[in-house]
Amino acid sequence: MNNRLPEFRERHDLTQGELAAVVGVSRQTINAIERDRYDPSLELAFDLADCFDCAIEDLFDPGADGD
Amino acid sequence: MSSTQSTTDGIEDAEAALDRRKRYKRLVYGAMAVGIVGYLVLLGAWNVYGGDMLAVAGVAVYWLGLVVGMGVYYRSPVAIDDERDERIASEAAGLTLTVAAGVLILGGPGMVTLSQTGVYEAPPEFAGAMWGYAALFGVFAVAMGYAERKFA
Repeated sequence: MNNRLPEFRERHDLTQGELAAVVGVSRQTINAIERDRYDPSLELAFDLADCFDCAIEDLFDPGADGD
Repeated sequence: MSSTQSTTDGIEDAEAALDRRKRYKRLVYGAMAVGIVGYLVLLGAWNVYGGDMLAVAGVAVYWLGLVVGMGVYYRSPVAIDDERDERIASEAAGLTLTVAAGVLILGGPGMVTLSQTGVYEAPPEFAGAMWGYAALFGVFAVAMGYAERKFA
């Protein structure tokens, strides 16, 4: 799944560690999401969207193949 | 209070919560490590000096460390693992079961058949391992039933 997490995070001037702390996961989890190595749960995706005050589909895109 | 100050406070609170999780995680693994190392040290001392109380104390230290570690893991006020940690553990458990299933599927019937025909007698350790794997899948079946009821 494609995501624009790095772009949103940098726009809000947050480090991976700070974003991780805000949504209650480890920094490694944020890193894995940003590198498309891990797809977050719906709950975490909502928390991330809530953190950036945007819609989930602004942050995540299933991509052409739906992965 | 300005929004910047509020955001900074929010991040600091969140980081404090994450630090708390890390402390509990260290406590869990620290208690388990003390239990295991204590067991090995006391067992080593028992081998050198004798005295069954040393061996018994080793087992007690091991149990205590593991029970404290698991107690903190399951009863801590903060979640020790996040969702990615749980996914990793779940995948690792699935892989382990796949390997165990492969060994049991190939080894179990082969062991019984070869033993019955007298062609090959597997060592008792192998038979023990097969029974252990079979018991593991018995537990897995019960766990699957429990988990399915949770999501039904």
